Amino acid sequence: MSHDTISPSSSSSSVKHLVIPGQILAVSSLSDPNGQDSFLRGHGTYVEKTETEDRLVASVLGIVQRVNKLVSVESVSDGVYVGQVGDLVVGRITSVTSQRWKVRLIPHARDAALPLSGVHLPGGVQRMRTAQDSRDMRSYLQEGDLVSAEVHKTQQDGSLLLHTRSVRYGKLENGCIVTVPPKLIPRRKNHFTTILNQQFQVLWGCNGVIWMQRAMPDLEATGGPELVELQERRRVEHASMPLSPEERRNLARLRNAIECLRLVFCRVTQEAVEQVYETSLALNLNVSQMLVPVNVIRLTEPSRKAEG
Amino acid sequence: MSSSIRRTDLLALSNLRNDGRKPHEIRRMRVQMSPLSVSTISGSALVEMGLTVVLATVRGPVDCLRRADENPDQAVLDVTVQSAPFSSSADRRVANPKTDRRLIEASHMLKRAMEAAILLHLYPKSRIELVVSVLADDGGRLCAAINAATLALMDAGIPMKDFVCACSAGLPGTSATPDSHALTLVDLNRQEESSTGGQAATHMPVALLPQRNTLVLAQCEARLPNLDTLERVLDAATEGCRAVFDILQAAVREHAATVLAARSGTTRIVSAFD
Repeated sequence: MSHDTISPSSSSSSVKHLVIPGQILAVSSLSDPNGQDSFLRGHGTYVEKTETEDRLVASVLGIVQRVNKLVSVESVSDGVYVGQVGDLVVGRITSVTSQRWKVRLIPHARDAALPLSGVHLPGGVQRMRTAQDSRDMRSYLQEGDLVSAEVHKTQQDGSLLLHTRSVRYGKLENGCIVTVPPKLIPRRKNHFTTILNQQFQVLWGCNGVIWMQRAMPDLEATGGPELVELQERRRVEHASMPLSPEERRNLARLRNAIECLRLVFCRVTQEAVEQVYETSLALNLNVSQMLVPVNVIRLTEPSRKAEG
Repeated sequence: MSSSIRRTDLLALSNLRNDGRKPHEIRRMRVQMSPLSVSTISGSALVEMGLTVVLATVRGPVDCLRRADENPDQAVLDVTVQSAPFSSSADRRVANPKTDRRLIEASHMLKRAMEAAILLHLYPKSRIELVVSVLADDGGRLCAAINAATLALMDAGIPMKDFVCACSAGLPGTSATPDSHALTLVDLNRQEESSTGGQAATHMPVALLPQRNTLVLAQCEARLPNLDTLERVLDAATEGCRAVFDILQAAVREHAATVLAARSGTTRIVSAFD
């Protein structure tokens, strides 16, 4: 590797706007009353004030983006997950404390908290939380368990509070996860989907963790208070029923389809994943062959075109 | 054979240093951004300055281990400098980074230098963990550590005011007398750092924010003959830092270009099945 010059092959149109930390992006002089050259500080930048002017300086390595007066720098590195209220997230329990579970959403970022008051306990929604419940916390969720949850609140210091107060959320068992950079998962109306001819249930976690499992046949839904128990019964049934080799292969194919998209940094959406999955079947590719670089390029061709 | 000239004599005659460099030349630098692809760390960098090799890894911002460690206003920077048992040929003991005084001092200096650049106030109540491993030590350990830490933080996407570039300068042991007008040396190696003939060498590691022209670290343990010497050494070190900055900048830009190219699927994809 030569470090004296930037190799000409690597310079494409996007590299033109590449900035390094400390690089000055804009200068606005204080003597100018109209604020012709003023700017708004966006992510990845900071303002340095001097006597005569304000300077906008980049603070991360990335690409400059400008929307009218707002100037921001999008980092080249895989970005941290910034939670929003209502996001579906998938995480792993790392510790159990007196009133809350700690949930790891991203391996190298801060843990979120799932308070005891944010989960459904057996015996009714309106039930009081007793001391007995806080002693029994490990019997509901223990260290190492995977859970799906919703962001309930973002706290002042940026940490997240979660809740699982819906039949859809809770412990995840007997499936598979893939982790992708959070910015590859766009926020959608529905983050629970059943895809590929009702074969798989997929949870698109906004923190970049995708959970997939085989879809269970619908039990007759009667609605009302029994719904909770029905869902619970279904979950237990799914968890205890082993996958057939065929189901396992299909699940692996789905996992590799998502992995393909991650490798070329394409948005991981239901349509894109289904497309890669179908293409791999059409090309008669083995599950294990899908991640060979040549095949990754071939499989993701339409998705990469769509991204531009 | 006894009349033949030794290599070091020949170098001295042609005004070169013991490794063949000119006085104001820095050692060859090789830089690698994110050499580790482990999901539990957020950034890493490997820096070679001559024969000194240093690996820096960054994790964070993560939760503090204890409530008492939290700072409500800004992130806490946790720095550990550790040294591999094979890092230097002279000292084969395993130095414990928690008790070894030299390593503790190095981590303190590194922490002070990096705190000057990282925008810590963006992550209150959290912790940024920086671990620097010295894999081979041929002098200038602290400077290499600072340079590697800068790149690792940048790889992790942690906001910084500027690069922190470090380089050392000094006077060789034999010329630290007031009357001598010996040239100052830049980026000293181990042999030049150590004392020769009972005369302690002057050795000053300096760290700089190159684009803001701010000095964030300058450390000197030797007795300097006069103020002029200090100025001279400081100037030489600053020049060295700028040379380091050019190399780091080029490496960072190249890394960013390859990452962006890989995302558009135009270049080779790195996968486990390659």
